[in-house]
Amino acid sequence: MTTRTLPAAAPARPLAVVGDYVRLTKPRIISLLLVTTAGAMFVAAGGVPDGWLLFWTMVGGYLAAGGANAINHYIDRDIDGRMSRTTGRPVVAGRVPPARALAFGVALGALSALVLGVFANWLAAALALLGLALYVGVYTLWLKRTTVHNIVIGGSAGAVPPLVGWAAVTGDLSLSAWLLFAIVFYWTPPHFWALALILERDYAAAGVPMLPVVRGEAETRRQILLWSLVMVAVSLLPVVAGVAGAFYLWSAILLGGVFCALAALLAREAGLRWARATFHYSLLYLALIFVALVIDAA
Amino acid sequence: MTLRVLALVLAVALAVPAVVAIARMAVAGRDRDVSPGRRRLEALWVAVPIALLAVLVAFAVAA
Repeated sequence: MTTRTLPAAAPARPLAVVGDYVRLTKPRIISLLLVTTAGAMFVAAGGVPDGWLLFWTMVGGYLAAGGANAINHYIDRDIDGRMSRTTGRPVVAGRVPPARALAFGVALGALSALVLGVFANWLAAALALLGLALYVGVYTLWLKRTTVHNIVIGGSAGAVPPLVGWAAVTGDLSLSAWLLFAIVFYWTPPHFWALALILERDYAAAGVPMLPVVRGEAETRRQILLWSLVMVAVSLLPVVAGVAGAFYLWSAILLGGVFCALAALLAREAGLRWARATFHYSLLYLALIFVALVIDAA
Repeated sequence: MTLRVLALVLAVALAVPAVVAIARMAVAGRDRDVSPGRRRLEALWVAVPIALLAVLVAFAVAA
């Protein structure tokens, strides 16, 4: 019998290090946030906004959301280690020291304010920082571990990007901007609870009081349907306010109808099949509802 | 029927029963073992989105 020794840990390759820092920003989540930012910019401009303004707002938006996500990696490193989905994250796995993740997040947040302030305007910069503060302070530090309503209120952080986009174009916030905020805000509960049904064991293991963990799957499925109905109602308000027309109305009815149909199937049938379908469709729904707004506004 | 009225009727028809059911479920699911302060805070988290919805509908109608 031979004894083998593990080789000494090799220094991380530069590309792998860069990859870990990119992973800290959660790029897949940000891509959907940027769709809502860009959508708001097109609607606010009544067509195609200035190309450079669009570019720098996307950069600033990515930096702000990426900064918030990196800080979230730092704060949640204890519970990330207890969830199978997140054990491979750079901080938990020891590839990025916690303090560096925190510093990286703070630096990205500061840089986002600078980019948006210089290339868009300071209202957009302030709103991006507000989104970061809501995500880190209200959602991650306060509500996530203390209340079953964590993502209902915490969802306000994810709804800020349309406000940033609108402010970048117009320099102010009108009712239309707040209606776009509301679409994302009321979309968040059914979206996140469908995900929470899929990841229920992970959340239970980490002690995060997500709805399925605290109130059970049956109530979660009912709540998803109810909040989906509210979300579709809210999606119709741009037409009520006269800021969107027929194309958007029928698109919202069609897209929302499919969402509610999936939620109704989920409410009727236990198991993960319809939870997965509702979650994946929710991602498509949010992107398409903003595309419909853009087409309607053009 | 104009688009605006159609959208308003649909929005109200969808939102009102859903909001009533959400509020009822929140009341039924109250945890009686927690302090009154904590119960009030939990109620606030349900009330905020409902109040925001009412405000948004009012502003959209007035626009």
